[in-house]
Amino acid sequence: MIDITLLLASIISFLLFVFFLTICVRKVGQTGILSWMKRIFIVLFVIGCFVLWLHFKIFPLTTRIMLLTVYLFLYWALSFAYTLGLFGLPLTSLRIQLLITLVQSNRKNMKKEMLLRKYSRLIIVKQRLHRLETSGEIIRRGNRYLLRSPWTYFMIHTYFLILLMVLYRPFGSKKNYDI
Amino acid sequence: MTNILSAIAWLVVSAVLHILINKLRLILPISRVVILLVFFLGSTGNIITNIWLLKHVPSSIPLPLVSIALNIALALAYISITGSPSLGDESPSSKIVLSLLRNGPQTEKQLLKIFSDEEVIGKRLTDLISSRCLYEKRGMLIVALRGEIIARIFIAFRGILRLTQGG
Repeated sequence: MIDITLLLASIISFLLFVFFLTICVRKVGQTGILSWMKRIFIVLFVIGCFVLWLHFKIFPLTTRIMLLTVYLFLYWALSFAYTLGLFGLPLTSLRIQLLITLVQSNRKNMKKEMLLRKYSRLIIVKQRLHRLETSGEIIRRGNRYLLRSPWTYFMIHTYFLILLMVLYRPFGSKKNYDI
Repeated sequence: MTNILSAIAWLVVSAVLHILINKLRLILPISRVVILLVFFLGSTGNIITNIWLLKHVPSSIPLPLVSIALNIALALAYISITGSPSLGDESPSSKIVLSLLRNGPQTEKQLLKIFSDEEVIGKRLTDLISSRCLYEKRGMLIVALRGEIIARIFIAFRGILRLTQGG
Protein backbone atom coordinates (compact mmCIF):
# COMPACT_ATOMS: atom_id res chain seq x y z
CA MET A 1 0.00 0.00 0.00
CA ILE A 2 2.84 2.43 0.86
CA ASP A 3 4.41 1.63 -2.49
CA ILE A 4 1.22 2.44 -4.40
CA THR A 5 0.57 5.57 -2.28
CA LEU A 6 4.04 6.97 -2.99
CA LEU A 7 3.79 6.13 -6.69
CA LEU A 8 0.34 7.74 -7.01
CA ALA A 9 1.42 10.82 -5.05
CA SER A 10 4.44 11.32 -7.33
CA ILE A 11 2.44 10.78 -10.52
CA ILE A 12 -0.37 13.10 -9.40
CA SER A 13 2.15 15.80 -8.45
CA PHE A 14 3.86 15.36 -11.80
CA LEU A 15 0.59 15.59 -13.78
CA LEU A 16 -0.39 18.72 -11.84
CA PHE A 17 3.07 20.14 -12.60
CA VAL A 18 2.51 19.54 -16.33
CA PHE A 19 -0.97 21.06 -16.15
CA PHE A 20 0.02 24.23 -14.28
CA LEU A 21 3.16 24.67 -16.38
CA THR A 22 1.05 24.50 -19.56
CA ILE A 23 -1.38 27.10 -18.17
CA CYS A 24 1.55 29.30 -17.18
CA VAL A 25 3.22 29.21 -20.59
CA ARG A 26 -0.10 30.01 -22.28
CA LYS A 27 -0.52 33.04 -20.01
CA VAL A 28 3.01 34.47 -19.68
CA GLY A 29 4.78 33.03 -22.74
CA GLN A 30 8.46 32.06 -22.68
CA THR A 31 9.63 35.07 -20.66
CA GLY A 32 10.33 34.16 -17.04
CA ILE A 33 9.09 30.62 -17.54
CA LEU A 34 12.05 29.17 -15.64
CA SER A 35 11.07 31.08 -12.47
CA TRP A 36 7.46 29.96 -12.80
CA MET A 37 8.59 26.36 -13.32
CA LYS A 38 10.55 26.42 -10.06
CA ARG A 39 7.63 27.97 -8.16
CA ILE A 40 5.12 25.43 -9.47
CA PHE A 41 7.47 22.55 -8.67
CA ILE A 42 8.14 23.75 -5.12
CA VAL A 43 4.50 24.54 -4.30
CA LEU A 44 3.30 21.13 -5.50
CA PHE A 45 6.14 19.42 -3.64
CA VAL A 46 5.23 21.21 -0.39
CA ILE A 47 1.56 20.27 -0.77
CA GLY A 48 2.50 16.68 -1.58
CA CYS A 49 4.80 16.49 1.44
CA PHE A 50 2.09 17.85 3.73
CA VAL A 51 -0.47 15.32 2.53
CA LEU A 52 1.99 12.39 2.76
CA TRP A 53 3.24 13.52 6.18
CA LEU A 54 -0.30 13.25 7.54
CA HIS A 55 -0.96 10.00 5.68
CA PHE A 56 2.19 8.34 7.07
CA LYS A 57 1.71 9.57 10.64
CA ILE A 58 1.86 6.03 12.07
CA PHE A 59 5.51 5.72 11.03
CA PRO A 60 8.51 7.01 13.02
CA LEU A 61 10.07 10.34 12.03
CA THR A 62 13.08 8.88 10.18
CA THR A 63 10.86 6.56 8.13
CA ARG A 64 8.57 9.43 7.18
CA ILE A 65 11.56 11.56 6.10
CA MET A 66 12.87 8.63 4.03
CA LEU A 67 9.50 8.15 2.33
CA LEU A 68 9.21 11.88 1.57
CA THR A 69 12.73 11.82 0.10
CA VAL A 70 11.71 8.94 -2.19
CA TYR A 71 8.59 10.90 -3.20
CA LEU A 72 10.72 13.99 -3.98
CA PHE A 73 13.17 11.92 -6.00
CA LEU A 74 10.48 10.32 -8.16
CA TYR A 75 8.51 13.55 -8.62
CA TRP A 76 11.71 15.42 -9.54
CA ALA A 77 12.80 12.71 -12.03
CA LEU A 78 9.44 12.72 -13.81
CA SER A 79 9.29 16.56 -13.93
CA PHE A 80 12.89 16.88 -15.05
CA ALA A 81 12.48 14.27 -17.83
CA TYR A 82 9.35 16.06 -19.04
CA THR A 83 10.86 19.56 -18.88
CA LEU A 84 14.08 18.70 -20.67
CA GLY A 85 12.90 15.91 -22.93
CA LEU A 86 9.53 17.15 -24.09
CA PHE A 87 8.63 20.64 -22.88
CA GLY A 88 12.01 22.14 -23.78
CA LEU A 89 12.10 20.72 -27.33
CA PRO A 90 9.48 22.95 -28.98
CA LEU A 91 11.08 25.92 -27.20
CA THR A 92 14.75 25.41 -27.92
CA SER A 93 15.51 22.53 -30.30
CA LEU A 94 17.19 23.73 -33.48
CA ARG A 95 16.45 20.47 -35.31
CA ILE A 96 12.74 20.73 -34.52
CA GLN A 97 12.71 24.38 -35.63
CA LEU A 98 14.41 23.46 -38.93
CA LEU A 99 11.84 20.72 -39.58
CA ILE A 100 8.94 23.05 -38.71
CA THR A 101 10.32 25.81 -40.98
CA LEU A 102 10.44 23.35 -43.88
CA VAL A 103 7.03 21.79 -43.18
CA GLN A 104 5.38 25.21 -42.89
CA SER A 105 6.83 26.37 -46.21
CA ASN A 106 4.42 25.99 -49.12
CA ARG A 107 5.89 22.94 -50.78
CA LYS A 108 7.70 21.26 -47.86
CA ASN A 109 10.95 21.62 -49.72
CA MET A 110 13.50 24.38 -49.95
CA LYS A 111 16.97 25.15 -51.13
CA LYS A 112 19.51 25.20 -48.34
CA GLU A 113 20.39 28.86 -49.06
CA MET A 114 16.74 29.87 -48.73
CA LEU A 115 16.42 27.97 -45.45
CA LEU A 116 19.48 29.81 -44.15
CA ARG A 117 17.84 33.13 -45.10
CA LYS A 118 14.72 32.19 -43.12
CA TYR A 119 16.59 30.70 -40.18
CA SER A 120 20.26 31.55 -39.81
CA ARG A 121 22.84 31.89 -37.04
CA LEU A 122 21.84 35.59 -36.75
CA ILE A 123 18.28 34.68 -35.80
CA ILE A 124 19.48 31.93 -33.45
CA VAL A 125 21.95 34.21 -31.66
CA LYS A 126 19.36 37.03 -31.32
CA GLN A 127 16.81 34.58 -29.86
CA ARG A 128 19.30 33.08 -27.44
CA LEU A 129 20.53 36.49 -26.28
CA HIS A 130 16.94 37.58 -25.68
CA ARG A 131 16.20 34.37 -23.74
CA LEU A 132 19.35 34.63 -21.63
CA GLU A 133 18.66 38.31 -20.89
CA THR A 134 15.00 37.83 -19.90
CA SER A 135 15.92 34.90 -17.66
CA GLY A 136 18.53 37.05 -15.92
CA GLU A 137 21.57 35.00 -16.94
CA ILE A 138 23.17 37.93 -18.78
CA ILE A 139 22.89 41.71 -18.50
CA ARG A 140 22.96 44.25 -21.27
CA ARG A 141 24.95 47.48 -20.78
CA GLY A 142 24.69 49.73 -23.81
CA ASN A 143 25.39 47.47 -26.77
CA ARG A 144 27.43 44.92 -24.79
CA TYR A 145 26.33 41.76 -23.02
CA LEU A 146 27.97 40.46 -19.87
CA LEU A 147 27.42 37.62 -17.42
CA ARG A 148 25.47 38.39 -14.28
CA SER A 149 27.61 35.86 -12.40
CA PRO A 150 29.89 32.89 -13.30
CA TRP A 151 27.72 30.74 -11.02
CA THR A 152 24.17 31.15 -12.30
CA TYR A 153 21.87 28.18 -12.88
CA PHE A 154 22.64 28.21 -16.62
CA MET A 155 26.40 28.39 -16.08
CA ILE A 156 26.25 25.35 -13.80
CA HIS A 157 24.16 23.61 -16.49
CA THR A 158 26.80 24.59 -19.08
CA TYR A 159 29.71 23.22 -16.99
CA PHE A 160 27.75 19.99 -16.62
CA LEU A 161 27.13 19.86 -20.41
CA ILE A 162 30.87 20.26 -21.03
CA LEU A 163 31.57 17.38 -18.65
CA LEU A 164 29.05 15.24 -20.53
CA MET A 165 30.58 16.21 -23.88
CA VAL A 166 33.99 15.13 -22.61
CA LEU A 167 32.54 11.84 -21.37
CA TYR A 168 30.63 11.21 -24.60
CA ARG A 169 33.34 12.32 -27.06
CA PRO A 170 34.09 9.26 -29.24
CA PHE A 171 37.66 8.02 -29.15
CA GLY A 172 39.59 9.70 -31.95
CA SER A 173 37.30 12.72 -32.49
CA LYS A 174 38.18 16.39 -31.96
CA LYS A 175 37.06 18.29 -28.88
CA ASN A 176 34.17 20.75 -28.76
CA TYR A 177 33.68 23.85 -26.56
CA ASP A 178 37.11 25.33 -27.05
CA ILE A 179 37.73 26.88 -23.62
CA MET B 1 15.61 1.30 0.66
CA THR B 2 17.20 -1.69 -1.11
CA ASN B 3 14.60 -1.30 -3.87
CA ILE B 4 15.59 2.36 -4.37
CA LEU B 5 19.29 1.48 -4.34
CA SER B 6 18.59 -1.17 -6.98
CA ALA B 7 16.91 1.45 -9.21
CA ILE B 8 19.88 3.83 -8.89
CA ALA B 9 22.47 1.06 -9.33
CA TRP B 10 20.88 -0.21 -12.54
CA LEU B 11 20.70 3.35 -13.88
CA VAL B 12 24.41 3.84 -13.18
CA VAL B 13 25.20 0.56 -14.98
CA SER B 14 23.10 1.63 -17.99
CA ALA B 15 24.70 5.10 -18.02
CA VAL B 16 28.24 3.69 -17.93
CA LEU B 17 27.44 1.27 -20.78
CA HIS B 18 25.79 4.11 -22.73
CA ILE B 19 28.91 6.27 -22.36
CA LEU B 20 31.26 3.41 -23.34
CA ILE B 21 29.28 2.43 -26.43
CA ASN B 22 29.07 6.09 -27.52
CA LYS B 23 32.82 6.51 -27.10
CA LEU B 24 33.34 3.53 -29.42
CA ARG B 25 30.89 4.97 -31.97
CA LEU B 26 33.54 5.69 -34.60
CA ILE B 27 34.80 2.09 -34.40
CA LEU B 28 31.43 0.34 -33.98
CA PRO B 29 28.86 2.27 -36.02
CA ILE B 30 25.74 1.43 -34.05
CA SER B 31 22.58 3.50 -34.43
CA ARG B 32 21.97 5.96 -31.58
CA VAL B 33 18.47 4.57 -31.13
CA VAL B 34 19.88 1.05 -30.67
CA ILE B 35 22.36 2.37 -28.10
CA LEU B 36 19.40 3.56 -26.01
CA LEU B 37 18.44 -0.11 -25.55
CA VAL B 38 20.96 -0.26 -22.70
CA PHE B 39 18.42 1.65 -20.59
CA PHE B 40 15.73 -0.86 -21.47
CA LEU B 41 18.10 -3.62 -20.36
CA GLY B 42 18.81 -1.70 -17.17
CA SER B 43 15.10 -1.38 -16.41
CA THR B 44 14.60 -5.09 -17.06
CA GLY B 45 17.50 -5.86 -14.72
CA ASN B 46 15.92 -3.65 -12.08
CA ILE B 47 12.56 -5.43 -12.39
CA ILE B 48 14.25 -8.84 -12.00
CA THR B 49 16.23 -7.56 -9.01
CA ASN B 50 13.07 -6.27 -7.34
CA ILE B 51 11.31 -9.61 -7.83
CA TRP B 52 14.32 -11.35 -6.29
CA LEU B 53 14.38 -8.88 -3.37
CA LEU B 54 10.68 -9.47 -2.67
CA LYS B 55 11.26 -13.22 -2.47
CA HIS B 56 14.57 -13.35 -0.61
CA VAL B 57 15.16 -10.09 1.27
CA PRO B 58 12.43 -9.27 3.81
CA SER B 59 11.77 -5.54 4.21
CA SER B 60 9.45 -3.59 6.48
CA ILE B 61 8.61 -1.21 3.64
CA PRO B 62 9.11 -2.88 0.25
CA LEU B 63 8.93 -0.35 -2.61
CA PRO B 64 9.20 -2.41 -5.83
CA LEU B 65 6.74 -0.29 -7.85
CA VAL B 66 8.41 2.96 -6.83
CA SER B 67 11.79 1.41 -7.69
CA ILE B 68 10.63 0.44 -11.20
CA ALA B 69 9.02 3.84 -11.80
CA LEU B 70 12.07 5.64 -10.41
CA ASN B 71 14.49 3.72 -12.63
CA ILE B 72 12.40 4.49 -15.74
CA ALA B 73 11.97 8.18 -14.78
CA LEU B 74 15.70 8.60 -14.01
CA ALA B 75 16.58 6.86 -17.30
CA LEU B 76 14.32 9.25 -19.21
CA ALA B 77 15.82 12.23 -17.36
CA TYR B 78 19.32 10.96 -18.12
CA ILE B 79 18.53 10.45 -21.82
CA SER B 80 17.09 14.00 -21.94
CA ILE B 81 20.21 15.52 -20.38
CA THR B 82 22.66 13.57 -22.52
CA GLY B 83 20.76 13.89 -25.82
CA SER B 84 22.75 16.87 -27.12
CA PRO B 85 26.18 15.96 -25.70
CA SER B 86 25.93 12.44 -27.10
CA LEU B 87 25.20 13.95 -30.54
CA GLY B 88 28.26 16.18 -30.16
CA ASP B 89 26.07 19.29 -30.26
CA GLU B 90 27.29 22.49 -28.74
CA SER B 91 24.40 24.47 -27.31
CA PRO B 92 24.44 28.00 -28.82
CA SER B 93 23.36 29.49 -25.46
CA SER B 94 26.18 27.67 -23.65
CA LYS B 95 28.67 28.84 -26.26
CA ILE B 96 27.53 32.44 -25.75
CA VAL B 97 27.87 32.35 -21.95
CA LEU B 98 31.26 30.60 -22.19
CA SER B 99 32.49 33.27 -24.60
CA LEU B 100 31.31 35.99 -22.19
CA LEU B 101 33.06 34.18 -19.33
CA ARG B 102 36.31 33.83 -21.24
CA ASN B 103 36.41 37.11 -23.17
CA GLY B 104 34.38 39.51 -21.04
CA PRO B 105 31.56 41.81 -22.24
CA GLN B 106 30.86 41.60 -25.97
CA THR B 107 28.47 43.06 -28.54
CA GLU B 108 25.99 40.97 -30.53
CA LYS B 109 28.25 41.33 -33.58
CA GLN B 110 31.26 39.96 -31.68
CA LEU B 111 29.22 37.04 -30.36
CA LEU B 112 27.93 36.28 -33.86
CA LYS B 113 31.54 35.77 -35.05
CA ILE B 114 31.95 32.69 -32.83
CA PHE B 115 29.28 30.87 -34.86
CA SER B 116 29.13 29.71 -38.44
CA ASP B 117 26.05 28.64 -40.37
CA GLU B 118 27.73 25.31 -41.14
CA GLU B 119 28.40 24.63 -37.48
CA VAL B 120 24.98 25.65 -36.20
CA ILE B 121 22.64 24.76 -39.06
CA GLY B 122 24.65 22.61 -41.48
CA LYS B 123 25.61 20.01 -38.90
CA ARG B 124 22.02 19.63 -37.73
CA LEU B 125 20.73 19.39 -41.31
CA THR B 126 23.24 16.60 -41.94
CA ASP B 127 21.97 14.84 -38.84
CA LEU B 128 18.33 15.21 -39.97
CA ILE B 129 19.26 13.75 -43.36
CA SER B 130 21.15 10.80 -41.80
CA SER B 131 18.19 10.08 -39.50
CA ARG B 132 15.89 10.15 -42.57
CA CYS B 133 13.77 13.09 -41.43
CA LEU B 134 14.92 14.99 -44.53
CA TYR B 135 16.44 14.07 -47.84
CA GLU B 136 18.32 16.08 -50.40
CA LYS B 137 17.45 16.00 -54.10
CA ARG B 138 19.02 18.23 -56.74
CA GLY B 139 20.07 20.78 -54.14
CA MET B 140 16.62 20.88 -52.51
CA LEU B 141 15.92 19.84 -48.93
CA ILE B 142 12.74 17.78 -48.83
CA VAL B 143 10.86 16.74 -45.71
CA ALA B 144 10.46 12.97 -45.43
CA LEU B 145 7.39 11.39 -43.87
CA ARG B 146 9.19 10.78 -40.57
CA GLY B 147 10.27 14.43 -40.39
CA GLU B 148 6.77 15.65 -41.22
CA ILE B 149 5.20 13.53 -38.48
CA ILE B 150 7.70 14.84 -35.92
CA ALA B 151 7.20 18.44 -37.07
CA ARG B 152 3.39 18.16 -36.97
CA ILE B 153 3.46 16.74 -33.43
CA PHE B 154 5.56 19.68 -32.26
CA ILE B 155 3.49 22.22 -34.19
CA ALA B 156 0.43 20.85 -32.33
CA PHE B 157 2.35 20.93 -29.03
CA ARG B 158 3.38 24.54 -29.67
CA GLY B 159 -0.26 25.30 -30.39
CA ILE B 160 -1.25 23.93 -26.97
CA LEU B 161 1.47 26.02 -25.32
CA ARG B 162 0.65 29.05 -27.53
CA LEU B 163 4.28 29.44 -28.57
CA THR B 164 5.02 31.38 -31.73
CA GLN B 165 8.71 30.76 -32.32
CA GLY B 166 11.25 28.32 -31.04
CA GLY B 167 14.81 27.35 -31.72
